[in-house]
Amino acid sequence: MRERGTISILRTALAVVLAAISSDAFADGQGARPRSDEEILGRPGRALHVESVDTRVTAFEQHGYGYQSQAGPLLGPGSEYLTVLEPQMEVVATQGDRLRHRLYVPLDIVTAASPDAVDKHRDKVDAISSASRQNYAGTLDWTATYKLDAATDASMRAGLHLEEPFRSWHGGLSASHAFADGATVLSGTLLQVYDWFDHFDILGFRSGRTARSTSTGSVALTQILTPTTMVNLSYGLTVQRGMLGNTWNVVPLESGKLGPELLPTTRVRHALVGRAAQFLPWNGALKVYYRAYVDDWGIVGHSAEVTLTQRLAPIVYLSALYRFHRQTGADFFTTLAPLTWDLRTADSDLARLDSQTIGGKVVFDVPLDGEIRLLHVDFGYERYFRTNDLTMNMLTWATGYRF
Amino acid sequence: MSLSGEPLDAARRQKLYDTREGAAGGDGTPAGGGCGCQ
Repeated sequence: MRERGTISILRTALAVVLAAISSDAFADGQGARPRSDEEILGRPGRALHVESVDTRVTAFEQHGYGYQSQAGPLLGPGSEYLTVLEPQMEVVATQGDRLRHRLYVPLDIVTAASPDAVDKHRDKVDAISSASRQNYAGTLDWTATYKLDAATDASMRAGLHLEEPFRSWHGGLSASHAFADGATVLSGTLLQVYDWFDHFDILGFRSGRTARSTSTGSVALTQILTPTTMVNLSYGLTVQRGMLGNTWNVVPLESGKLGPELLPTTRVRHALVGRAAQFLPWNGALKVYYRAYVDDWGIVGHSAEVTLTQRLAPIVYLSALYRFHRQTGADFFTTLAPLTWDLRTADSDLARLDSQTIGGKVVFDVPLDGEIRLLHVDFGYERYFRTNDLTMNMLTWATGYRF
Repeated sequence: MSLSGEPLDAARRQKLYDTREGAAGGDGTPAGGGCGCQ
């Protein structure tokens, strides 16, 4: 009896399954509305479409000497030797017709002589924790841009930065509007950065946390002058408050000892930038850049840059770059400070200096059939050198995919 | 036509100048805030 009952239940279940299958088959056969992509995949506005993925790795090697570093004689100058390996990744994706996302992730693996030298004052311990030998730093930066209409975009940006003695958060808003059929674009950006980091004295002893905030507002105007010429003018105002140094830089004093940097707790910075790009009739392009800078620490700077690009074949082009930068020093920069000074720094980056950058790269853009439309590969080298004893060599290589 | 070049290349170069020159930043990016790693 029990066996017959089981067989009966199985028969009933089989009949229900067959009925369900034949019902679907009947419905399909009768031309019922097939399920749409939207029903299967969800609302199209929610589906992410990856447009591009780019990666770049850059290796920096810096040599030089500065009086803010303790990696040398007591009153300096000390070594500024530093290496950085910096991988970067950028993913751009769209979500429907109006929304575009950009995810940017740079990492830095830094080995530096200057912070490591702070450790020599302490036994067994590590002043900047293990960061004094090698510091790993990373950032997550996400920008979402929404197209309000054919001429207007609005963006929100958010991100955070992590490294062993340092935390940072940033957020921003920007908007752009195109006039004259897109020939003129006016844009504005607001960005707020908050840094929160360990405070060390010049002997490497940690005394808690300190912070600074950086607020930036900028406006820019881009104009297409001719089908082959484009120009851009922008102005940026940056206001910083809080601890504006790294806390462990030293300043040689007239007393024959070392003292800490003494910096103002605010800094107001102005930058006016002009850019222009011109296609050249021999499959080339010329880009020029100029920036004027002034701040209330007494630094005035001028930077000019020229980039020349020449296509050699449909998939290969070369690019060469030259940049010149000149700045005055901060009012309180010195390499031997009187004890009476309320403000002082020996940081070579805040000194009067000229710097130059020369470099070039070879770029391959290879069109492909299939899901990847284009493969991008480039290799480049740059050399940065200054009049106050600092040089840097940079090797960079990149791969990118367009879908 | 881009005025500032390939974004990752421009970003790593801008970061170098922001950290190595007192008169850097302000090109639509904060001057001196954020990463203290270089």
